[in-house]
Amino acid sequence: MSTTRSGIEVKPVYGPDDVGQPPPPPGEYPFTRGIHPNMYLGKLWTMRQYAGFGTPRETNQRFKYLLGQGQTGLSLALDLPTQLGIDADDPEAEGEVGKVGVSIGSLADMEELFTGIPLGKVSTSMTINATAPILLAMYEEAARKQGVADDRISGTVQNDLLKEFGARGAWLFPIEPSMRLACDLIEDTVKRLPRFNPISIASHYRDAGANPAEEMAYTLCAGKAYVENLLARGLAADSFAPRLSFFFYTYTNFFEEVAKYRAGRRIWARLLKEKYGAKEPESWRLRAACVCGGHSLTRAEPLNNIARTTLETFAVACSGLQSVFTAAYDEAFAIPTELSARTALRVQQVVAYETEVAQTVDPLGGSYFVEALTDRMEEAIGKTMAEIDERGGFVEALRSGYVQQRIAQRAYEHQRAVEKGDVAVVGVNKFRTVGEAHEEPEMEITSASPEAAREAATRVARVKKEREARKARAALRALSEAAAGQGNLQPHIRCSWESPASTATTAVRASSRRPCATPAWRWCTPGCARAFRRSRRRRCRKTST
Amino acid sequence: MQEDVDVIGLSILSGAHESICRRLVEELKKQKADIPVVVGGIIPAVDHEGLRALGVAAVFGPESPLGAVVETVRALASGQPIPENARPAPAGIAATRLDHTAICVKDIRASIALIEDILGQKAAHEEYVPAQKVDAAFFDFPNGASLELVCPRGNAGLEKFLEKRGDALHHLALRVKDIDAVLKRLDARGVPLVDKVGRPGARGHRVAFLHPKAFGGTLLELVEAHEEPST
Repeated sequence: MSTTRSGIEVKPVYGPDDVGQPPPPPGEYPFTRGIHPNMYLGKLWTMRQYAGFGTPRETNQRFKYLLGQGQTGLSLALDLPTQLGIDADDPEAEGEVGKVGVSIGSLADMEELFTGIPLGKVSTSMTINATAPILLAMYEEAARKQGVADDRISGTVQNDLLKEFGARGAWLFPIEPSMRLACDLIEDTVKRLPRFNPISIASHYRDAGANPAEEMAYTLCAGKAYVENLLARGLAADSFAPRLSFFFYTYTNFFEEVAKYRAGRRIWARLLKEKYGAKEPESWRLRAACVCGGHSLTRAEPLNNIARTTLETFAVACSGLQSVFTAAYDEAFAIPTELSARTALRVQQVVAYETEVAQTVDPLGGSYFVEALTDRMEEAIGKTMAEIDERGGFVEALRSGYVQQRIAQRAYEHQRAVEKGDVAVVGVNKFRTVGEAHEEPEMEITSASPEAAREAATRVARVKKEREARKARAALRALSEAAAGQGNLQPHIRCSWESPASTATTAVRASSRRPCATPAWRWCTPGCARAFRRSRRRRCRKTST
Repeated sequence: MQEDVDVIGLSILSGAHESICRRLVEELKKQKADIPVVVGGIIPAVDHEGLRALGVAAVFGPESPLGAVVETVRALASGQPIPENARPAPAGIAATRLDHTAICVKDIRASIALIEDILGQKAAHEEYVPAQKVDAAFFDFPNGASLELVCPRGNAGLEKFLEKRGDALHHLALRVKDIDAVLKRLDARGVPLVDKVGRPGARGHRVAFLHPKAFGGTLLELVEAHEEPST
């Protein structure tokens, strides 16, 4: 018998005996068929292409280009130094500035990034985690300077630190302080910015190797960990659950992906209603964005990737997700070119406007196969979630390395299966073109200009020189004192923007809370930060011994 | 180093491989630590040789076979040479195609007329290239390759060539992606070069010549295509 990627056995034919009770209509608990009764007839999914490289100015131009092409939301890619709170002029940032995203070192950079883009109308998703509190504070301030009211600011910060430990690795603080910062941001944001998603619980486990059922299981387990942290603060589930959002990966295993999303919605709704006691249907709904692409795309014969992302995007359209990023066919090479970025957006538009998939809610609902596979996926996801529970929950399973080990094992198994030919990858292990096409394909490669890095470094250095050092220092000291206590840190991070210290750079802010346990960290940024850091180091030494 | 590592493996997907590897290798040298470094990730083939020139023992791009990675690391850890089948082919010039073949001629008008007559092919492009002090004419073939006629107008080297050999095949031109990076790599390997950086050539391309000694007496030209505006 054949199996799916999650190891679920698949029969040659399905019939009425394979399915149980038909699920309730879309928009009804447990939302197997979709979180809204009318789904895309009410609002099409948001087409949100991930973009960002080089300087704020370059990214601003790409954003305007994408909006001009009919994109409906922005998705901001930030470079690794920004993700890790390292200034562009820091030696540690060398070679990385502006590479995998745009470099944002100060409020001025954030303002320039959105010049001419009305933040009251366009929503922005920021893929930012460890430094999410800082980037959100900057974004809010940039929006306010445009005259946008708090209740009009909309978007998402990824702010999911658990997947950094499980799969991605870009964390700054150990797991508990990371959880504190992430949940501080959620708690603070749900009170003030009613249209902003303070977290996007993300499934990078999949791109690191997990199978689809495990991907959903780990991600929902992470969701549970955040919910439990917020409940432990005394918050009611209904005060924050409606603002939790998710982010998944979709590959070419079409039917299993559809079943994964239908099963995931069902499990999340039951958890929120039955386990966490949420009363509002809004709290039960699993709202999700996704990426089509990632590890499913190949370096060999890159144009084949357009076929892959088309199928993936169609799978998502059949699954009823809220926001879609379709990767560009050259993703395995470099930053997308305007052509590849536009083509990726066109893939979404073809699916949305030519296939007529958006005319019917849950178009695969009632298929013997899809309903049966949804049930089997629910069982498989539930099994993995139970294994995590047995290990003391997701935080504990991450701390012990259990999750990471399992993902690595899966990645190894998958690679072996590809090399043995058990899993087909067209153009790689099947139907591969012999000869020239297997050499590196000739592609136009966009890369961030070295000038971008120099410009970013100069800008940061100028901010450091021109700010009022004494006031910046005072604001940082206040923040640092708050960090030693138990209170919510997000207001302190945000409040210091309103003072002249608003020009404090990203790195200073991150380092003010970076524990001295990080061995790679060197105390080498000039200016006011140095004195502050000395005091911080002493405090760290005291508390860590 | 404190943990007595045998091999250092880096996984870099951000595009910063050049800078990270350079800093790591320098630091290892400074510490007098003889630990082999291997790198994997999204690393374009054109960068592989540059990384090896820095002292990186092996580079694995996307879709590298697992077995080759394992064997390489195992060999490096035990001080054995990397097995031949695990060794990725050297990137070399990494030409993407033959750009053109050039014939040096005394009388470009007469030669154009001759080729138009014999090949039944019109000259697609003619220009004077000031940086090279030559007249050039191109006949383009449907597969993208061209035949170039080149005629000196103040270019002493070509005049000497004509004196010695008369009208004759002069050079092969290969299309490359990042001409300055390729030249830098070749130079680092001690390949004799006429030009160490790209110079303006015909059709707005940037070009450079290798010394004939570099390639068994045949003159090679490298061409980095001028980006044509997309229509």
